[in-house]
Amino acid sequence: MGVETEADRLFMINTTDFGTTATYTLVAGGVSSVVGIFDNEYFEADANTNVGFVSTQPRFVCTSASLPATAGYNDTAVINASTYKVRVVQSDGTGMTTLILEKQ
Amino acid sequence: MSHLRKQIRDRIITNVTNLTSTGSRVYQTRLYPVASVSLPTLLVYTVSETSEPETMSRPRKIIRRVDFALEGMVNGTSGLDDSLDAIAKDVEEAILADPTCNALAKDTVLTGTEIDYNASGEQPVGSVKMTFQVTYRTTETESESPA
Repeated sequence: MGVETEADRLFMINTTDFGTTATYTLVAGGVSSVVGIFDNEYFEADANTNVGFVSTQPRFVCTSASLPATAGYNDTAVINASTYKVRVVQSDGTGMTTLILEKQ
Repeated sequence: MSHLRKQIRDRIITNVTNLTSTGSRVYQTRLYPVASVSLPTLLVYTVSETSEPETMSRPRKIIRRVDFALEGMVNGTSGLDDSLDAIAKDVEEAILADPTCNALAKDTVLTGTEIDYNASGEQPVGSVKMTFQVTYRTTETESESPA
């Protein structure tokens, strides 16, 4: 458990600064808006070939409390007009969660 | 004239250019990463070669076995294994339909296939690495022509 409150965490990712709003849809149904920070950094990976491939690595960091309780694999997040599938939900145990995304 | 190994490699590249699965995106000895927007693609490398004399008197005839790696890469949100098998089918058929590389070599065989996946980027990427061994012969004093 972190020392900061949920309000503290939400302040750090507010949409006035670096935050953006994702439209989050559960596989089982149900749509909600989640505020977080979207990262899509340049990325180079090994493909077991002589050269690797370059891509980007989409991630969405939000407060754990702002996500639906059943958030998980194959949910959909629309961020900045792009659609992503949620592949991994990584809770850091202190109130923040990183979503590993796959671009559709 | 160039080394017979280069002539064989050039022939292989010609044979695998414009396949249904990878089109004209064929790169010889590419050393820089491939962008995901450029997939599917096919990479061709000369990996290694063994050689041994086949005759006693000089100039001796040298039998050579060179390994070429043909690496297909593809990305997508589903069906990666099917796409990789489609690349493998296209490449194998194109290479083995011309096992002498237009009479430059004695034979060509597929000696191995490796398949790998990586889901670290914005979309999963799969690769299929096929190794073809081409047997050819030169004389030790002239490496430009088949002997």
